[in-house]
Amino acid sequence: MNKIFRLSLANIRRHKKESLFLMLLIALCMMLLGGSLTAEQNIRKLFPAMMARTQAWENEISMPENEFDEQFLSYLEDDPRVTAFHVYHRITDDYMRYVTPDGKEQTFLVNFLTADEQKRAGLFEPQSTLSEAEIAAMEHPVYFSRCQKNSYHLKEGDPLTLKLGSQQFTFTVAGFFEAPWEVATRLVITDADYASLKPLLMSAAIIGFNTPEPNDADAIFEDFIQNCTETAGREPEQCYVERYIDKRGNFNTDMGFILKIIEIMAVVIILSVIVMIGSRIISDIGEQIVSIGVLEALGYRSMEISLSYAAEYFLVALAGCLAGTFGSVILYRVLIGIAEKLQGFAVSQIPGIGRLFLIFGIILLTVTLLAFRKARAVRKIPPVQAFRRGIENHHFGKSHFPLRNTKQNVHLRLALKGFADHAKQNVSLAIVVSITTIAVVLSFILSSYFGQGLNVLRSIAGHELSTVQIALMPGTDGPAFAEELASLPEIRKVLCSGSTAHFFVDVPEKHINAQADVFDDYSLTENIFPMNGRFPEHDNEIMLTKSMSAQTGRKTGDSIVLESNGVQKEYLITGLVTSLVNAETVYFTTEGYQRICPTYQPDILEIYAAEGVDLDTIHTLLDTRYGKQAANLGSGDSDAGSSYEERIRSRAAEVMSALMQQEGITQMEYSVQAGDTVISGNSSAIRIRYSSNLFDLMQTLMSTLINMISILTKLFMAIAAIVVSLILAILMESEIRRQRKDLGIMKSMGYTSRELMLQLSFRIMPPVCLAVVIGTALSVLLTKLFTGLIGVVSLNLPAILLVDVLILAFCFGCAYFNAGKIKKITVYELMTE
Amino acid sequence: MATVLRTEKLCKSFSNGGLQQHIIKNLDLEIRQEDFTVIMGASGSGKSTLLYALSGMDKPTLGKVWFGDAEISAYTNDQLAVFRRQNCGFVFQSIYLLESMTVFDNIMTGALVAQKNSPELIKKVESLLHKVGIAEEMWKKYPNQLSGGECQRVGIVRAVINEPKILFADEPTGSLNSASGADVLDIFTELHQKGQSIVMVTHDLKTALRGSRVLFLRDGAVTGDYEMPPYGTDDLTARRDHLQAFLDKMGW
Ligand SMILES: Nc1ncnc2c1ncn2[C@@H]1O[C@H](COP(=O)(O)OP(=O)(O)OP(=O)(O)O)[C@@H](O)[C@H]1O
Ligand SMILES: [Mg+2]
Repeated sequence: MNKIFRLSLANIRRHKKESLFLMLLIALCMMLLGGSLTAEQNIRKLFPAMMARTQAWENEISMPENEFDEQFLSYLEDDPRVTAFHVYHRITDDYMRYVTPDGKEQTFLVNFLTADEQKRAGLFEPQSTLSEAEIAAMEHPVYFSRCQKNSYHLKEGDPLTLKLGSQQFTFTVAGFFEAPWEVATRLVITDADYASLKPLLMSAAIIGFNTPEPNDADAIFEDFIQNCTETAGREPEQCYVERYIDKRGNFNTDMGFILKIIEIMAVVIILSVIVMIGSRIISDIGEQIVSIGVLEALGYRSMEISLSYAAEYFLVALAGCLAGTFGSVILYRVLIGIAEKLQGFAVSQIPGIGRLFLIFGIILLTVTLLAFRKARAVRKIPPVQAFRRGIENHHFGKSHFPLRNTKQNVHLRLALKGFADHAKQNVSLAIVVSITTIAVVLSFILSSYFGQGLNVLRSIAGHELSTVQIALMPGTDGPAFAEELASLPEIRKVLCSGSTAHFFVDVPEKHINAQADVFDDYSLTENIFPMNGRFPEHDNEIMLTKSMSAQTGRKTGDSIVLESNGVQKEYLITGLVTSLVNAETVYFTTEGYQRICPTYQPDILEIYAAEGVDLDTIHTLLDTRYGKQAANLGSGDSDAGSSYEERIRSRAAEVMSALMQQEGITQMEYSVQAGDTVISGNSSAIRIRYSSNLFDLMQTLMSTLINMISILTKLFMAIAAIVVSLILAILMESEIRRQRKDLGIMKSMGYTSRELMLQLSFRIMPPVCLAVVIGTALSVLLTKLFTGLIGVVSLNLPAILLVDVLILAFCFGCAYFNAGKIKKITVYELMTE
Repeated sequence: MATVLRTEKLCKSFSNGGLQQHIIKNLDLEIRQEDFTVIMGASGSGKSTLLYALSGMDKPTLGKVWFGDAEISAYTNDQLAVFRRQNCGFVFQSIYLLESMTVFDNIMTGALVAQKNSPELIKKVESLLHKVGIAEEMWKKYPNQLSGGECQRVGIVRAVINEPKILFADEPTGSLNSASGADVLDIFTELHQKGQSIVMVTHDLKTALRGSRVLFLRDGAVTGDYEMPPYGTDDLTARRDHLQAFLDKMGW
């Protein structure tokens, strides 16, 4: 044993640098694999941890308050599959806006609850750095969902300003409480504030229930609705269920993507390390053949020599794994930190030791076994053959690229010759470089995709993200109004759509509650891209989201039966869309949607600002031209200083808009006599109900994730570059040692160091070029696979080509740099050898 | 005859474990064109060291080496390489063919560094190979499929293919048996007769006889300089006796 380790230590000492580089590569593997796999293990625990900490209901049925009846609850009580349930109430509004500290407004999805309601929804154990007296002194205290804290950068005592129309509500953050992660932020306010907000917002009853078998939730919901329909005599509208499994899925996808990238990187590095080790041992044996012969002549058995090689790589791998373990703990911390930042819930700061050990062992064993297997080649070398410098080490067959046919530059010719004469080494080099090219190009594609910052949202939203979305008053002629707006110079384009919040489409055999996106002509939309197939054009055509396709098992080209309010229609799926915002969306044409919902009229306009026109300008424009939005009217505080007539008109508009919204009246006229003057008007000026901007909200919610991915992909480009340079350094190092004598001879003949460096570096270029081509092709294919995960990634081919050229230049540069060792070879040392 | 190489206070020392070892000491020397200069001396006297300093393989520690008007001792390593490819040919005791290349490619590697490929070049290589007695069936063989003498003859062709101003040889017959050694020496003689300047290191009397000038090196200095008529123009026994006498006087 001792003598085996002595041999391998001597070998490590003989190529210190290569051993060091190999150790670094193995350390990188260990770090990436250990970090990501242990993080994955614990990130899986994030969701259960969140559920446990918040005591939230696993599944929740949402019903508008006016549809809900206490007696419905008995159906859940009677359902044996339901282990526990409770109802709580909340108020919400899709058009609430959040005013940032610097005065900007953004859409803010919010659910308001009272403390008592929150206790029914889960736990309410508020935490605060403030004293009870301080909180008691607050006029409008609000408790904020802790996991959303990061998105809004809030702390105790900060004001929280919300707006609905022109009405402004200012709360003070009293503290935070544990609520599950949701797109809408959960706020707990005082009973008094709740009561005063309630008339302005939409109220909903939420029935939370648990069931041991998560997949039962759907059936429980259906049976529940069935029973409700029988009792009420009609199907309650706008009810839906949020299932535990969906919540869990949505919760984990972001992190899953990041982890996938890391794991792919780790696999890439491991593959290249394995290829590297294999070719290193083979070339080392070739180089050392005489010493091996001497050892054999001295009486060493070939097994002992093989073991010494295996031991050499065992030692290197051991050192690498140890270093990598530290790295993996750091990476674990970083990833868990990201997950916590993204989702607001933390898990253990310590990675799973068992899994870490397992990875450690697997890497160590793989490397050692591989080294041993390769080193068994020694068995085939008897001492005599070894002394003859292993005749088969040189092939005596065809000589490639004979110099008598040299036409070009002799250095190029010699490089080609060297390349052709080392076929085996070329294969491993090509594999390594292809793999790393995949890593670089893929990282590049992803990083330039996510590097556009939040603009990437536009391509993965799966929804139109226009400058402003306006909801129309009932009865307004959408297309005509759209045309009128589009003629304004500040507005580039206006598209008609439908307010998706009010329509749900059921796929009968699955009962998926889906929203509808409706556009006349999808080719005019800017943020909806089919990841395969094409846009729907006829009234029997639709697109589905990728997630719906998976749930229904229907693909592009299949047909599907949809159901809405009892009407069933069959549609042809023309394409699939990735949607990050709402995974359950069906994309209809206007006529297509009217087939299933005959009363549908466009009631949403997507307004696109002209080049250089900002959101505020559009808001002002809409306000001045079309008067105040209906939602802005309810304030009642008619501007002081305005004339009597203006106040009358304002009040009239207010009354009309309230009636129109509540009673579905489409056209009203009024006439008011005050003294001698008659003030009259009609409702036609009131056309805009609300305006909103979805993009803001998404920005707030997604910016952390997008930034993380962008940083990570850049990091991986760097790691891939490090791997390539390490590998090329190892390669050049051993190549130069192997050819030391030949290089000396060439120098004596008058070849300069520079020429020889060029020759050596050019020699690696044919396999590198080939590898880059293969790697690029594969990474483009891989990108297509990612489409399902992150949407349609547009490929910028010139940029990718540029990256390829950079990779080639980088490889050449690394090779040339490392070949610089040639300079140290003096002709003289050859003579005194 | 004109001087091709000239040294001026040439010194070469090595540090062996911190100990400075002066091998060549303040040497002033001139090598003339068309001479067959033989450098002799005891083992370790610095013959090889001198040869490599003269030929631009190595840089002197102090002093200068002039090649015509050019001071090659001031050249950078890459300039020296270019100098070598244009002006020098080398034949080594351990031959040093490129093991991974065929006989023909070994020669072409030497040729193409200094000149462009051409049909004339190929013809010249072929005729030189024929001349040194390497038959065509050996051209595609690899060096370790050839005998030592055959290899050295290939080595000589490689050295002279660019028609160097000076051909340097460090004990070219050192590793050969006497029959193949004589063959190789005959090639040198023939080259010299055609006007090739040669500088050769040897410690073998029979080899030294081929020269036209013998320099004796001792402790890093030239202690003897002996001239002979060209080989083959005089009586061989007398030539040997005279040289022997010179060497005896030098204390060889
Ligand atoms: N690179 C070196 N480093 C240290 N010492 C050296 C080096 N090269 C040569 N020497 C020393 O210089 C001295 C002269 O060496 P050189 O090779 O010139 O002798 P030589 O006359 O050619 O001997 P031989 O006839 O045995 O070939 C020797 O003592 C040798 O040990
Ligand atoms: Mg010598």
